[in-house]
Amino acid sequence: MRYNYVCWGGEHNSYVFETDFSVVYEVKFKKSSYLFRYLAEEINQNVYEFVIDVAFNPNKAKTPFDSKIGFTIAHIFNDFFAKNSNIVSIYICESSDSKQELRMKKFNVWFHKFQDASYLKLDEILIDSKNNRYPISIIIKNTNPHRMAILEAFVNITKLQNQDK
Amino acid sequence: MNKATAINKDEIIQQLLESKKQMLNEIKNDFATPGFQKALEELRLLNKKSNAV
Repeated sequence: MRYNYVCWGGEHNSYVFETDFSVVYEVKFKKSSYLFRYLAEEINQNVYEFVIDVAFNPNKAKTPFDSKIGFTIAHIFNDFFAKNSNIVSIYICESSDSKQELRMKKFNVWFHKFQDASYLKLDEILIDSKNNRYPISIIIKNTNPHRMAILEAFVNITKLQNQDK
Repeated sequence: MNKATAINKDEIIQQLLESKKQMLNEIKNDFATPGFQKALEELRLLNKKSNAV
Protein backbone atom coordinates (compact mmCIF):
# COMPACT_ATOMS: atom_id res chain seq x y z
CA MET A 1 0.00 0.00 0.00
CA ARG A 2 1.22 3.45 -0.91
CA TYR A 3 -0.08 7.00 -1.02
CA ASN A 4 -1.08 8.78 -4.20
CA TYR A 5 1.40 11.44 -5.25
CA VAL A 6 1.57 14.30 -7.71
CA CYS A 7 4.64 15.48 -9.61
CA TRP A 8 4.30 19.24 -9.71
CA GLY A 9 7.70 19.80 -11.29
CA GLY A 10 8.91 23.21 -10.24
CA GLU A 11 12.57 24.08 -10.53
CA HIS A 12 13.73 20.84 -8.91
CA ASN A 13 11.37 18.06 -10.07
CA SER A 14 9.18 18.10 -6.97
CA TYR A 15 6.75 15.41 -5.95
CA VAL A 16 4.16 15.77 -3.19
CA PHE A 17 2.10 13.28 -1.17
CA GLU A 18 -0.07 13.46 1.95
CA THR A 19 -0.30 10.79 4.64
CA ASP A 20 -3.34 9.49 6.52
CA PHE A 21 -2.15 11.72 9.39
CA SER A 22 -2.32 14.83 7.14
CA VAL A 23 1.45 15.18 7.00
CA VAL A 24 2.53 16.55 3.61
CA TYR A 25 5.87 15.33 2.24
CA GLU A 26 7.90 16.69 -0.63
CA VAL A 27 10.54 14.83 -2.62
CA LYS A 28 12.92 16.76 -4.87
CA PHE A 29 15.52 15.88 -7.48
CA LYS A 30 17.85 18.82 -8.07
CA LYS A 31 20.34 18.91 -10.93
CA SER A 32 23.89 18.77 -9.68
CA SER A 33 26.74 19.53 -12.04
CA TYR A 34 29.68 20.10 -9.68
CA LEU A 35 30.21 16.61 -8.28
CA PHE A 36 31.33 14.89 -11.47
CA ARG A 37 32.49 17.95 -13.36
CA TYR A 38 35.18 16.00 -15.21
CA LEU A 39 32.82 13.38 -16.58
CA ALA A 40 31.38 13.76 -20.06
CA GLU A 41 28.49 16.22 -20.38
CA GLU A 42 26.12 13.44 -21.42
CA ILE A 43 26.71 11.83 -17.99
CA ASN A 44 26.95 15.03 -15.95
CA GLN A 45 23.65 16.39 -17.20
CA ASN A 46 21.84 13.45 -15.60
CA VAL A 47 23.21 13.88 -12.06
CA TYR A 48 20.61 14.82 -9.43
CA GLU A 49 20.66 15.34 -5.68
CA PHE A 50 17.73 13.70 -3.97
CA VAL A 51 15.97 15.05 -0.86
CA ILE A 52 12.87 14.10 1.16
CA ASP A 53 11.31 16.20 3.89
CA VAL A 54 8.07 17.20 5.57
CA ALA A 55 6.54 20.26 3.90
CA PHE A 56 3.65 20.55 6.34
CA ASN A 57 2.77 18.80 9.60
CA PRO A 58 -0.40 19.88 11.41
CA ASN A 59 0.18 17.41 14.28
CA LYS A 60 1.72 18.63 17.50
CA ALA A 61 2.42 15.13 18.74
CA LYS A 62 4.87 12.81 16.98
CA THR A 63 3.08 10.88 14.24
CA PRO A 64 3.15 7.08 14.47
CA PHE A 65 5.29 4.91 12.19
CA ASP A 66 3.77 4.81 8.73
CA SER A 67 4.97 2.03 6.41
CA LYS A 68 3.14 3.54 3.42
CA ILE A 69 5.69 6.39 3.29
CA GLY A 70 8.54 4.05 2.31
CA PHE A 71 6.49 2.43 -0.46
CA THR A 72 5.46 5.86 -1.74
CA ILE A 73 9.01 7.20 -1.89
CA ALA A 74 10.15 4.05 -3.70
CA HIS A 75 7.35 4.53 -6.23
CA ILE A 76 8.33 8.19 -6.75
CA PHE A 77 11.94 7.11 -7.22
CA ASN A 78 10.89 4.59 -9.87
CA ASP A 79 8.72 7.21 -11.57
CA PHE A 80 11.63 9.64 -11.82
CA PHE A 81 14.00 7.00 -13.19
CA ALA A 82 11.33 5.89 -15.68
CA LYS A 83 11.67 9.30 -17.34
CA ASN A 84 15.37 8.71 -17.96
CA SER A 85 17.06 5.45 -17.04
CA ASN A 86 20.50 7.13 -17.16
CA ILE A 87 19.80 9.29 -14.13
CA VAL A 88 22.47 9.39 -11.42
CA SER A 89 21.00 10.07 -7.98
CA ILE A 90 23.08 11.35 -5.07
CA TYR A 91 21.92 11.23 -1.47
CA ILE A 92 23.74 12.94 1.39
CA CYS A 93 22.15 13.04 4.83
CA GLU A 94 21.30 16.25 6.64
CA SER A 95 24.07 16.82 9.16
CA SER A 96 23.30 20.00 11.11
CA ASP A 97 22.38 17.94 14.22
CA SER A 98 25.20 15.39 13.77
CA LYS A 99 22.70 12.55 13.20
CA GLN A 100 23.77 11.94 9.60
CA GLU A 101 25.01 8.38 10.19
CA LEU A 102 21.72 7.38 11.81
CA ARG A 103 19.84 8.89 8.87
CA MET A 104 21.98 6.97 6.42
CA LYS A 105 21.23 3.72 8.25
CA LYS A 106 17.52 4.45 7.87
CA PHE A 107 18.00 5.32 4.21
CA ASN A 108 19.85 2.04 3.63
CA VAL A 109 17.10 0.04 5.34
CA TRP A 110 14.55 1.81 3.13
CA PHE A 111 16.55 1.13 -0.04
CA HIS A 112 17.04 -2.57 0.62
CA LYS A 113 13.41 -3.04 1.62
CA PHE A 114 11.76 -1.20 -1.23
CA GLN A 115 13.99 -1.20 -4.29
CA ASP A 116 14.15 -3.95 -6.86
CA ALA A 117 17.30 -5.48 -8.33
CA SER A 118 17.44 -3.02 -11.21
CA TYR A 119 19.38 -0.44 -9.18
CA LEU A 120 23.01 -0.20 -8.17
CA LYS A 121 23.80 1.63 -4.94
CA LEU A 122 27.23 2.50 -3.64
CA ASP A 123 27.89 4.05 -0.23
CA GLU A 124 30.89 6.08 0.83
CA ILE A 125 31.83 8.36 3.69
CA LEU A 126 33.24 11.78 2.88
CA ILE A 127 35.59 13.05 5.58
CA ASP A 128 36.46 16.72 5.63
CA SER A 129 39.68 18.31 6.86
CA LYS A 130 38.16 18.65 10.36
CA ASN A 131 37.49 14.91 10.43
CA ASN A 132 33.71 15.29 10.17
CA ARG A 133 32.08 12.28 8.51
CA TYR A 134 29.36 12.62 5.88
CA PRO A 135 27.78 9.40 4.56
CA ILE A 136 26.84 9.69 0.90
CA SER A 137 25.19 7.29 -1.54
CA ILE A 138 24.94 7.08 -5.28
CA ILE A 139 22.11 5.21 -6.98
CA ILE A 140 21.96 4.37 -10.68
CA LYS A 141 20.17 1.84 -12.84
CA ASN A 142 22.28 -1.26 -13.43
CA THR A 143 21.60 -0.76 -17.15
CA ASN A 144 23.29 2.67 -17.18
CA PRO A 145 25.83 2.42 -20.02
CA HIS A 146 28.24 4.73 -18.14
CA ARG A 147 28.01 2.89 -14.80
CA MET A 148 31.72 2.04 -14.55
CA ALA A 149 32.84 5.63 -15.19
CA ILE A 150 30.24 6.99 -12.76
CA LEU A 151 31.11 4.59 -9.94
CA GLU A 152 34.83 5.17 -10.48
CA ALA A 153 34.35 8.94 -10.31
CA PHE A 154 32.31 8.52 -7.12
CA VAL A 155 34.99 6.37 -5.46
CA ASN A 156 37.67 8.82 -6.56
CA ILE A 157 36.06 11.56 -4.47
CA THR A 158 36.56 9.41 -1.38
CA LYS A 159 40.13 8.58 -2.38
CA LEU A 160 40.86 12.28 -2.69
CA GLN A 161 39.98 13.03 0.87
CA ASN A 162 41.98 10.09 2.19
CA GLN A 163 45.02 11.29 0.28
CA ASP A 164 44.55 14.85 1.45
CA LYS A 165 44.14 14.02 5.13
CA MET B 1 48.32 15.00 -12.93
CA ASN B 2 44.96 13.36 -12.55
CA LYS B 3 42.34 15.99 -13.33
CA ALA B 4 40.34 14.85 -10.31
CA THR B 5 43.10 15.98 -7.93
CA ALA B 6 42.29 19.57 -8.83
CA ILE B 7 39.00 19.19 -6.94
CA ASN B 8 39.10 20.42 -3.37
CA LYS B 9 37.46 17.84 -1.10
CA ASP B 10 36.22 20.37 1.46
CA GLU B 11 34.75 22.42 -1.36
CA ILE B 12 32.75 19.43 -2.64
CA ILE B 13 31.48 18.58 0.85
CA GLN B 14 30.51 22.19 1.47
CA GLN B 15 28.69 22.38 -1.87
CA LEU B 16 26.80 19.17 -1.10
CA LEU B 17 25.82 20.36 2.39
CA GLU B 18 24.88 23.83 1.17
CA SER B 19 22.78 22.36 -1.63
CA LYS B 20 21.04 20.01 0.80
CA LYS B 21 20.34 22.87 3.19
CA GLN B 22 18.98 24.98 0.34
CA MET B 23 16.66 22.18 -0.81
CA LEU B 24 15.38 21.61 2.74
CA ASN B 25 14.71 25.35 3.10
CA GLU B 26 12.89 25.33 -0.21
CA ILE B 27 10.66 22.52 1.03
CA LYS B 28 9.81 24.57 4.13
CA ASN B 29 8.83 27.51 1.90
CA ASP B 30 7.23 25.62 -1.01
CA PHE B 31 4.06 24.79 0.90
CA ALA B 32 2.74 28.35 0.69
CA THR B 33 3.45 28.77 -3.02
CA PRO B 34 0.61 28.69 -5.60
CA GLY B 35 2.29 25.84 -7.51
CA PHE B 36 2.48 23.65 -4.44
CA GLN B 37 -1.08 24.46 -3.34
CA LYS B 38 -2.36 23.63 -6.82
CA ALA B 39 -0.52 20.30 -6.70
CA LEU B 40 -1.98 19.62 -3.25
CA GLU B 41 -5.49 20.34 -4.55
CA GLU B 42 -4.89 17.96 -7.44
CA LEU B 43 -3.56 15.35 -5.02
CA ARG B 44 -6.57 15.64 -2.69
CA LEU B 45 -8.90 15.29 -5.67
CA LEU B 46 -7.01 12.18 -6.71
CA ASN B 47 -7.30 10.83 -3.15
CA LYS B 48 -11.05 11.45 -3.14
CA LYS B 49 -11.41 9.60 -6.44
CA SER B 50 -9.32 6.70 -5.12
CA ASN B 51 -11.46 6.49 -1.98
CA ALA B 52 -14.64 6.58 -4.04
CA VAL B 53 -13.64 3.50 -6.08
